[in-house]
Amino acid sequence: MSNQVMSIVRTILGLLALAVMVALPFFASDFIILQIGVQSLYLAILAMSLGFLAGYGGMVSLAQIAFFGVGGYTFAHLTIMREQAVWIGILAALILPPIVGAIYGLLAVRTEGIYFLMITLALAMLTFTFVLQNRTLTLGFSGITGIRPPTFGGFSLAEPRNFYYVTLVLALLVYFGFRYLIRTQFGLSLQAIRDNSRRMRALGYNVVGHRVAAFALAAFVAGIAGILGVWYNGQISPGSIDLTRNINVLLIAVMGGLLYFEGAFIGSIFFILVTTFASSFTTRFNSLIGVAFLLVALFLPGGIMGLFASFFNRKTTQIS
Amino acid sequence: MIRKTYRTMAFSLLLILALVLAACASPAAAPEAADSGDSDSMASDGGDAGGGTIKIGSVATLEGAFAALGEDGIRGVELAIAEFGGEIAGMPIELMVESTDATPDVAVNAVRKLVEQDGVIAVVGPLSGDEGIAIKDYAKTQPGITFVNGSSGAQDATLRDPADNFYRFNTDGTQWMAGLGEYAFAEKGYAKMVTIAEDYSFPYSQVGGFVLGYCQAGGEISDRFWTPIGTTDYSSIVASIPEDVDAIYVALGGADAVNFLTQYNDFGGTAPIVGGSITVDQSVLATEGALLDAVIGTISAGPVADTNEDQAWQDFTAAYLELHGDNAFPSPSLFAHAYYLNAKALLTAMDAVGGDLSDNQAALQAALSEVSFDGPTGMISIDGNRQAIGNNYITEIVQMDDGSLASNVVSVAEGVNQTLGVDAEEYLAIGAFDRENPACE
Repeated sequence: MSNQVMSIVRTILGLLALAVMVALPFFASDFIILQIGVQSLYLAILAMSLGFLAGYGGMVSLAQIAFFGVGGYTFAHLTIMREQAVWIGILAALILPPIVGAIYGLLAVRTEGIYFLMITLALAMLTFTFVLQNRTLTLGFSGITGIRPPTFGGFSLAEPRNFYYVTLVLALLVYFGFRYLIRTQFGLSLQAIRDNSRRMRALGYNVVGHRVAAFALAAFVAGIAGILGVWYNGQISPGSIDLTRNINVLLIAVMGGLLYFEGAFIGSIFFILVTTFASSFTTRFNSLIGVAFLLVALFLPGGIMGLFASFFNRKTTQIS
Repeated sequence: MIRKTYRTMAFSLLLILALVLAACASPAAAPEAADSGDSDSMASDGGDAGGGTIKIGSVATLEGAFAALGEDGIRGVELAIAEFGGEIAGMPIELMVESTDATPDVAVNAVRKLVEQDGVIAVVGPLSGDEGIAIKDYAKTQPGITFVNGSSGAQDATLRDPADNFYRFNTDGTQWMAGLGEYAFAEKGYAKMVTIAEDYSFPYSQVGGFVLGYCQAGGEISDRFWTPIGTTDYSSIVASIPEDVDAIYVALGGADAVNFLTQYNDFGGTAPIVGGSITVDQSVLATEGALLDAVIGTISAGPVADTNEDQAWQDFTAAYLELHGDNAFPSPSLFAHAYYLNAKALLTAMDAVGGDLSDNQAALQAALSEVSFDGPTGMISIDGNRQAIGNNYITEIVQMDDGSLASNVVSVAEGVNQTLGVDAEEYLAIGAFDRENPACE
């Protein structure tokens, strides 16, 4: 088949997936809408922020869960502990993660490969320990509880369908935003830096600046997921951003396919379905995910989405 | 370069796989026991049921560090179901178990699945304090479902802002300290003490419960030390303990307790220890080494004791061992006991209404409010906030004939209510317990 036909098939499949996501609330129960739908979507947003950094910036960051936490905790702290208005909480929770992201980025982006991995892991654990021990800001181990999804005018997010659509719109915005961004000059230079940072530096590009900017941007996106996460969970505690949750983000991004933003959706839906339903017939669902992850890592280096992509367009895999 | 990224990734994958496997290593026999217990009751009663099965859900910590405790909790539920012959009003009981990892997020997800997807009519659980508060919050959104606690001991699951359909037939973390302060002051003669505890809600309720009784009896608390969970080095705290204290109150759990007690001993500390409910439990007593001599004579308090001569407890232990045999602990843990009490209360109420679940379970919930029974540790009933009133044991660590250590009952505080006998309004005026609250007066 020619590339043109393939591209049409791909577009149709994409539209089909979109249609399913939009139509989901009309045939699914509240449980499916919330626990499968909303949860998968906010995790997909988080995984996309990692996919962007790893796939296009060459930075496999283990700190994304920290920014998720900064966003969630900021909202929870302001609205529950300080009883501020919801919009103040949202605004602050959008502003703070990229600031923290830029600071963490400055510390981390001068390293590469395994060292970058270790530094970002250390920063994530630092954040975890901070929220565990700083009781005045975060209430320590117990965390902040009693958070309710907000109501805007007459539009209540406590209604599963409304919450789902808000999350879906945000996830799509992030998806198309990233797709757009990687084609801009900034996105292209970021990829060039990923491929050969020395040459880019020699050409006069500010390598550190690009990387820090990408890191802060990914932190901003992770912060959005954090806000949605506390609305969904109704609380946030150190357990929401511990090592297990951190690894889950990486699992989702890698299983879906780091280079493909669609992969974040596939990975998160797969992950949520397994954790939700496999526990009904086995307590070893963690092993199940581990094995699936290993198989993907060994046989599908491009993730589940990479498999689709190589089927439709072999060129993509060659470029990557 | 992408290839390099993937190599990095492959390395991290292996690392992560190792972590995941390590996390999976602990859950062992109990889930299988859960399954078989389940299918047994189905097989024996499957035929005669006209109205289908009664689906009951239970959540417990079946993964991570507390897996062994969660498994024992589920054994408690199975024991209660077996006591009812696996059926209510001719309808077989189907037990559906979901796992949590002791985080509130996961607990709510697990319970939501049981209620909204699997269609259970009641939930027994969860295990830990903060999970309990999260489930209480969720219970408010599901008025037509009945929630009974598992072993969560957080005060505020029932004390402040309770949910109408959340019941707790086990005593909470503060009640577990009832009588200990008075005993330490009057019987042991400890006039001045310091407290050392982990810096979160459960130790707050334990220290609070101890301080209330101890200071009322006339004792003095000269300092309170708080450490983060997972602290390994206690040297700075050991160094700051004043020399003139008569005893030290320690509310640390698991590895934290072992680390502190070992280091205190190594630094030459000699003051007697007064323990929280999980400070000198079997997980600590099973530790080898010089520590053992140091903990003999430690007094503590809690809802269960290792050596309880009471016939009801002996019968309970025998039934527990008969049902669960080799997989189980030598005697039911605090968790098996708490889950058992809650499940038994639920089934008793369900039996009383003949399985009537109409009108958003109104009849069932009314019956549940009236339930009281003579359990393994004496009479259990609940108050207006649906919180248990029950007995509490003051224990002392003794060496058994076979050389092992166990907690031995020295005194029983009977009919302990949630406000420890203080007038409810007065008690609520103290406010939520934290680092400084309640004051020693």
